[in-house]
Amino acid sequence: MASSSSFFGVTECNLLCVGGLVAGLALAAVAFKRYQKYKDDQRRQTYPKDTVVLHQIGRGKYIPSISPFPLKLETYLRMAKIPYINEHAHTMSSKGKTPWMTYNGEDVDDSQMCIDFLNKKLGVDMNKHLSLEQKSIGHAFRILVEDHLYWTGVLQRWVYDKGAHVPEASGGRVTPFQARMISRKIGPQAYMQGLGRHTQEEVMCILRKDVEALSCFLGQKKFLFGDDPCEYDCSIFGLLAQALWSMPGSPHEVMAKKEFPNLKDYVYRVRETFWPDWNECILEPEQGGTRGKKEK
Amino acid sequence: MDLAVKLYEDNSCKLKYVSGVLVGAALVVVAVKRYRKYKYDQKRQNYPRDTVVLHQIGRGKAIPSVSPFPIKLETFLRMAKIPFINEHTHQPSSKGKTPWMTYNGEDVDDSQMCIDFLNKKLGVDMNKHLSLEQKSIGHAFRILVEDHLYWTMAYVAYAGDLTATRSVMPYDPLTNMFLVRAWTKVIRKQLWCQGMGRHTVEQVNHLIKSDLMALSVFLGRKRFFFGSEPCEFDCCVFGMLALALWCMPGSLHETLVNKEFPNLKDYVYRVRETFWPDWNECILEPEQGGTRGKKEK
Repeated sequence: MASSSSFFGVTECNLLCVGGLVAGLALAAVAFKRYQKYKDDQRRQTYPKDTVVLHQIGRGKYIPSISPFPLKLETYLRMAKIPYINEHAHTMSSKGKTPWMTYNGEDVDDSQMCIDFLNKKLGVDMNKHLSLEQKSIGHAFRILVEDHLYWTGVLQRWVYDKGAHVPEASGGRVTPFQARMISRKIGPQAYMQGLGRHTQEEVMCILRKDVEALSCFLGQKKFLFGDDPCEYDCSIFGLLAQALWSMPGSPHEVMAKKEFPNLKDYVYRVRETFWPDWNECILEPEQGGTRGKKEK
Repeated sequence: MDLAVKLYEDNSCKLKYVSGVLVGAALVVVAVKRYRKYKYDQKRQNYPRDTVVLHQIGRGKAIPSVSPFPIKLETFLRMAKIPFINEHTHQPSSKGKTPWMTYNGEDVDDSQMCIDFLNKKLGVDMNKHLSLEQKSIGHAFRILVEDHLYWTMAYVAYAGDLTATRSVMPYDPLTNMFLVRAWTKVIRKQLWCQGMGRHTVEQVNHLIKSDLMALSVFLGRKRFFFGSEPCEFDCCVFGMLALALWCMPGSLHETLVNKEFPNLKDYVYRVRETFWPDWNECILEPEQGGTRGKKEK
């Protein structure tokens, strides 16, 4: 006959031990979270006034960021000459995305919402020289790049390549294990978005049409709308720079470098104009980067 | 001991019984599937030659489809004068989407891939009067409409209150309830993965206004997107804006197209008059819950 102090063979003592362990772990987790929040609040109090704190995922081996949106937002801050500092941490925004920013205590996420916020707050308008029609076309191209071309890049990097190049491109900050885990999550996301339902061949065809449209519209112009850069150049640069420097061997790289040379020239032009310190914004060789090394 | 044997025997009977039922049910399912495939293949053999069979999800109460992409594709077929017949079925394409088409035995899914296929197959080019730059701009606007504005509409229709969405669904109340519930679950997940679902309502409203303003500004006073002649890009812009006007009652999309950007409203009516003179016959009759024959508000 079973002991009256047991429950399916587990003694009271065992239950108490396990319960105590679980409660202890839960308390430790709560304490740890509170401590993290305390440190976070302490750090936020040291943020300089009237300065954007740009939260990013860290520098890359060949490129200031292996994600196009931090690169877009940082290019905009440089273009608009808005004072900023970078905080390279893996903290994602409240929407689970990167980048995001803090300005005088206020958090804003989504690169475009950050730009709109700063435009309104600081009276900035990098599109003021454009006509209304040009702004409408610029808006359409920004969406083409951020909501369509972007997903072909996501599929290439995370689904077809299975994140194989990401550890190297991130200077080792993303481990091969992490890259594989992320790759498993991205596939279903791309399927939900829609582009992931197409075959690889179909996606390549879609990619070509997008890149062709960009190349054709840019033509021989210095920037998207002529001799003066505008806000839309930031997002196009952010994405095309990935093709050139963080997607080695991809169709994106081949198209940008060889098939549509005006796009390559454009990316180098934007880089020279707004990133004269590009070399200081990539990882050092000791960190797995190529700072100081001659570009291939 | 005897009791144990009896129990064993009883269990064995139960097992045999349950296995028999399961195998029988599996056989029935296989048989039904095979029969349906047989009937489907028979139906496909009756498809007319050199005619597009456009597979859609059925007519709407006030609009030929409650989805913009079937309207886009059907508008293109009318514009390019390609013979077609409609097959209204809930069967999605191999990619789980609608619409899709069959042409001389070949299935093609995704509205844009259908258009590209037909352009190549039949030597059609509704954009031949456009310059290369205009085509590049048109392509960018098509993506704006199909990969951004579309998601703002999905957000409004499925991310919040479903009352308006249920009111425009053209099915019987029970099917409506089931379908809307099933679609809501899937679309909310899609919205999150795509990104639109991570924004607040206020933020999405701002995006809606930006997209519609861009369309309105670019269209200006032109008859069609690129002047007095319609082109392929008009099909997708029309498909999306038609939904705003006739399938999203009380939405910000409807308000903006009706009131704040009247050139978009005029444009939609113009495309409708040009390519859908039989619009009234392409919506459901009052007996089916539709507004056929009724005066438009």
